[in-house]
Amino acid sequence: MNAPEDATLLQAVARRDEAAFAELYDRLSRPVFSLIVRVLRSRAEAEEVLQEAFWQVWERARDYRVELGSPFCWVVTIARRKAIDRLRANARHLRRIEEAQGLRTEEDSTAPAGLDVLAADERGTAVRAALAKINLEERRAIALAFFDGLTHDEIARALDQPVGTIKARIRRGLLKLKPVLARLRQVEPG
Amino acid sequence: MSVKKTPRIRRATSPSCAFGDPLDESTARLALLAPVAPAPSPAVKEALLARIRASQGGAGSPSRPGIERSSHSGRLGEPAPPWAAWRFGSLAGNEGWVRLPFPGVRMREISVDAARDTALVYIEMEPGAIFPDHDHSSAERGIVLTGDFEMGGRLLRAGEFYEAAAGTRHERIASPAGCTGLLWVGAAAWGGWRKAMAAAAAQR
Repeated sequence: MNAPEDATLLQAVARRDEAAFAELYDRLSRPVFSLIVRVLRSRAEAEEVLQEAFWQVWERARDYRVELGSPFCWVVTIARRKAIDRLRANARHLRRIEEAQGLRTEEDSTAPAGLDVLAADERGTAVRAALAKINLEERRAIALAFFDGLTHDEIARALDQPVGTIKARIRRGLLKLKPVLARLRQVEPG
Repeated sequence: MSVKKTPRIRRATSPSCAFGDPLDESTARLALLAPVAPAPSPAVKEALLARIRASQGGAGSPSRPGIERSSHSGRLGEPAPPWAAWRFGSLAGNEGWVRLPFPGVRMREISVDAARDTALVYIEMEPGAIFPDHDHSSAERGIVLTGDFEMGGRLLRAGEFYEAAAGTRHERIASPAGCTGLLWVGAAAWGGWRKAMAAAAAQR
C-alpha cells in the first residue's frame, strides 16, 4: 500500500482531476470490489454498488482528510456502507441471520460457504497467517459484523450468546488481527 | 412544489451496526480478507468516467456547454467515445418535477422520445396519497419499485407491474404505504396531460 501517493491522488480528485480519479480507481477498485461482492454475493449488484461508491469518491473527495485514515480506509467505509445499505434495504440481512443461526451447532471450521470464513485460504500465506491468529468464534463474529453488516444484538441473538460476549470476541479478534492486517497488501498476487 | 418532499429513508446501518462509520484503519483493512473477486467489468470505470465528463460539461461549466470530452492533456483530439453523447440525470433537485393539483404525489419526467411516442416517468406517492380517476389516451405500463399501490382492484407491491390499454379509464389509485414506480406512457399523451396538470395546479 502506498498511502501518501493514494492521498495525493485523492487530493487531485478533489480538484476535479479526472486522470487522478482513473488512477485511484485502478489502484483501489479491485479490493473494494472484492469486499462488495463478499457483502452482496452478487457480482452484478456489486458492480452497481462499486460505481455508486466511486461516484461518491469523485463527488466528495474534498471531504477527505488525512486524519480520517488512508484513502483506502475512506473508500472502504463508503463502499461497505453502500453495500450493507443495499443488503438491509430489502431485508436480505435476515437471511444472513438465519444462516448464522444454523452455525450455532457447527463445530467444523470448514463449514459453510461464505458465512464464517473470512477468506478463501488459497489466497496466500499472509491471509492464512492473519486467519490463524483468531479462533473460529472470533472469525464468525467479525465476519457477521463486517461483511454481513449485522448489529451486535443481531449477532448475539443469532448465535445465542450474550451481547457482551459478541463484543468481546470482535474486539479480541481485531486486536489479534491488527498487526497482520497492517502488513497485508491491497491486492494479493494471483 | 406544493407537494411535501418524501422523507429520506433512515440509514439502516448506523448507528446500530456493529462497525459504525467511519471505519478505523485496521477495521477497514478487514476488507483485504474478503475472497478476491475477479476484476470488475471495464464498463464500470467507463461509465464513471463518462458520468464525470458529462457532469463537468454540464450546467456547472458554462465554458463547456453540452457534453464534451475532458480537457485532460493527451486525450484531446481523440475521437469521441460512444458514451460522450449519453445523457445522465438524477432525481435529486427540483428540475423536471411536474406540478400536480393533488397532494402527496410527485412525478418526474425521465425521458421523452417523441419520434417513438414514448415517455418514461418516475412517480413517488406518500403514504395514503391518492391519484384521482383519469383517462388514458395512450397505453401505459408501470412497475412498482418500492411500497405498494392499489389499482384495478388489486394491491401491487414492489416488483409487480401492469399494462393498461390505450383509451381506458383508470379509477383512483391509492398508495396505503407510499410507493415509488416507473411508468411508460405515450409521449404525446404525457405532454398534454402534463400541461393540464400544471394549469390545474396553478389555479389552486
